[in-house]
Amino acid sequence: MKPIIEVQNVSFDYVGQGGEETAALDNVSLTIGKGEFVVMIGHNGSGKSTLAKHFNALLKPRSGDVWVKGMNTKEEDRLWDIRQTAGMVFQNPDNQLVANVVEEDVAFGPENLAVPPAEIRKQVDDALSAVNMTEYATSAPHFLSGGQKQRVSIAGVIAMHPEIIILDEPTAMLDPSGRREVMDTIHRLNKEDGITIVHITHYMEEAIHADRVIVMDNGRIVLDGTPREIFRQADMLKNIGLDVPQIVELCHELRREGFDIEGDPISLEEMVDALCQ
Amino acid sequence: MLKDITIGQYYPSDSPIHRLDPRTKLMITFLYIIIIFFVQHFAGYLFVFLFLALVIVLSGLPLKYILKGLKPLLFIIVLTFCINLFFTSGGKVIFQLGFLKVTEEGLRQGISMMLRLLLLVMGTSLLTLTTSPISLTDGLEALLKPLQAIHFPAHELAMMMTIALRFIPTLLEETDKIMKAQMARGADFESGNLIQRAKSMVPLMVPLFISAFRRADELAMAMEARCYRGGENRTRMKVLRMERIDYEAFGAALLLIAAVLINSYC
Repeated sequence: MKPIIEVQNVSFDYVGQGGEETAALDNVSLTIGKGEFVVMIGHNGSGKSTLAKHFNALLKPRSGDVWVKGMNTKEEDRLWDIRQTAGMVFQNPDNQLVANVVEEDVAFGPENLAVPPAEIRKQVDDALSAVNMTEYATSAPHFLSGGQKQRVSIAGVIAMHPEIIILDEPTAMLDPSGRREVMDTIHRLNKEDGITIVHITHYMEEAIHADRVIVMDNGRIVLDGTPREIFRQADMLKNIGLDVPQIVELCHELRREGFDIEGDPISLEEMVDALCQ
Repeated sequence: MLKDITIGQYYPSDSPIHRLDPRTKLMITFLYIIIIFFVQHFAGYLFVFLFLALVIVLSGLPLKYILKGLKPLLFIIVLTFCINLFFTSGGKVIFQLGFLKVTEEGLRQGISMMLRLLLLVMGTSLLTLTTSPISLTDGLEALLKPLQAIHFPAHELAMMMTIALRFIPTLLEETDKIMKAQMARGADFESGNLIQRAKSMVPLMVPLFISAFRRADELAMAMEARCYRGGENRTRMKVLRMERIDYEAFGAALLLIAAVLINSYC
């Protein structure tokens, strides 16, 4: 797999109000391949958001380097190319929509990239249909549900034709149905359009269908692997204050009680299969 | 309670007036305001009134909608009428009661001022009634663009208006939420005199401002992430284009100007 994001020995610290420095990233190295669906998990303050903001040059490393599609995020004159390549969706849908008409908001990115008007129209229509929001093109954002607003935010990023979409806890403020809408949308974008997804969350359930899960704690990557590999280390996850998906928990409990369960089921379907053998 | 507030008073419809380019409407409204002050005789007001009536009929707006806009200004209109009526001297005295004296000139001046105000308010409210806030912003930006040569921040102004329009409902909703939260803890926003009520607003305003700043911060980051770098080298999805109907509207406006000027000065 061709690498699209490369992080090499990156450290970063926030300077607090009193001038004291808090390390947010501590010598992190990581490579993300093109077309991967990566979920980054960690509790608050683990550095996952900070790391994600390095992927589109919103933050620059204090030491080390970040390359996005071969461009170093420290190169000032590639800044807009980097941000066009790696789009970002934020946590609060209300605070990232700019215009008071859905289609105008989706057009905001392409407008900034100086795309000709007729092409913007097409990109906006395509982006809205990619997130199934075409029928709301002329609605005002404040009449939409949280999940719909977040889908509009995703459309706003897709309209810029990115190769990577970074989602910084996009589901944290949504209800379960809104969460499902967003997850279905990004999984589809990953499968159908081959867009690399970096999804940051603290819901373990959202990691089950990822290609790869990265667990962060105290500014470091502590675990990196497929969901199955990660959830096998339930104790380790619990140690750093994270939960495991219910199914994994159930599997552990059953084994402790002496049941023999084959493989490592992580989804409901797999569990059903494992139990019915 | 806060749900009732509508921003701008846009009345969505598909009339010829609604379809006019916002720049046309802005410029004609501007000319209209100026020309009202050039009217010298009552015949001139008749021309302006006919023009206004034509626009209202074409716009298909219910008359009560336009009259509703006049209601809050009723007091000012009546006051202007009275001041001019009683304090203009000259001409024959029509009516006298103690120190109050109504002269012919006063009556003329009073009615004239009242008509001016009425035509002014009705004309300008037609602009906001028939133009959506977003196209109004686009129109303003396009019209102010030439001023960028003298470093007038036309794009920034338009962007500020867009963002304000976008966040007014969000902040209203938030105000409602904070108000309910404070009321649940015993805050009282409704009783007491004006000063007490103003004071009780403090626990409402502080959290609202804090959250507005936080939102601004996040929005700025989201805009940067979407490659926003000011107005330079920026295109727009919707391009404003003058159509035949716009030129016709300008023609009508010029006709009005000519009629008023000829009536007043020839």
